[in-house]
Amino acid sequence: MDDDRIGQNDSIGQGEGYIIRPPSKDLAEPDEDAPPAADEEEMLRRAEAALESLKDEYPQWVEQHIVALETECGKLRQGDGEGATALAAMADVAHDVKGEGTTYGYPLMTALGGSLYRFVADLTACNAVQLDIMEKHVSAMRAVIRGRIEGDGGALGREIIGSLERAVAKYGG
Amino acid sequence: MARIRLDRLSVLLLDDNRNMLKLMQEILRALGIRNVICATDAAEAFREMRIAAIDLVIVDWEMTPLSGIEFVKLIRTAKDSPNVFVPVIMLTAHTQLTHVVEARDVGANEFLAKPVSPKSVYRRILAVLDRPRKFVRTKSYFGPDRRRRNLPFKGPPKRQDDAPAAPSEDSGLTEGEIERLLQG
Repeated sequence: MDDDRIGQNDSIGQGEGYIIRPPSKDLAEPDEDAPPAADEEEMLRRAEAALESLKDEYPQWVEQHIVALETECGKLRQGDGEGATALAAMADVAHDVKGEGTTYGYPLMTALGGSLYRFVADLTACNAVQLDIMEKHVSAMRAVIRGRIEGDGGALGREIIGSLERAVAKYGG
Repeated sequence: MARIRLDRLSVLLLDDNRNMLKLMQEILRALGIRNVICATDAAEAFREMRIAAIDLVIVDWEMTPLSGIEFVKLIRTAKDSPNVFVPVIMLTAHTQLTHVVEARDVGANEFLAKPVSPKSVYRRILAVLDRPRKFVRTKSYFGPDRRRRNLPFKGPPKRQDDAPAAPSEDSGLTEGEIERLLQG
């Protein structure tokens, strides 16, 4: 392994440092016994097809996220004094929904998850109006999944997202 | 450019969300990566890395009890790290500049924004393998050389196949901006 001291012309920041060339596995060596390299576009098409086969499972397993959000909303509505915990849990779930929806062909879920996450992420308590906005997010998610609304949901989907985002901007923490 | 043999890679996926693990595993296998090892926590990941040589780690940011950031810190700095040089891709739905910078500054090689697509996963893997970075050790940092531009590119997109910009409502960076930030 080469280990070069940084030269005077290297601007690495304060103090002295080393540049180290880590050992690397040669992944470009030809292997006569290996299958021929797949065309890149064909490979990506294959990967997209693999994803398609998982999309049918998404409504079933995102259900657990929606149930979790409904549960946390229920705790907040009961006002049991654990508001900060419920809001943090809601932020975690919303973050997951945001990160998953589009991959499975449900960008509305990503938008709803992202909007809800932005709304609750910095909240440690909430009032009735804010709780109502959270519940509207969750209801919208439930409607998307129940209706198997893929894509952006058209004009109605865009109106729902726009309305929620305006509410988030107005009543956010 | 030499052809990269993805079928020779061993990739470790670390995520406590089993659905995301399954998704990423499917994508990687469809891309031709035959050896995909899954772990749901850092301890399991370390165990796997001690059993077999891992060429690439893809780790999710949001995990408990140890986050992806903390895991990468351990990989790079712990005395008993299985491999301080292993390339790491940080996977997360956080796309704000501060998050990208934080991932870079703990020693992640690349940053992959959720929601993912097969194309975005493939491009990040190629970025790690096609442009391997030298490692740097200073008093305060050990990891891939971070010398890049420090600001996201502000001009018009220069690549025709840049992914469409994600909605900007959360001030998150787009995939193209993240790529330009990390790769210069």
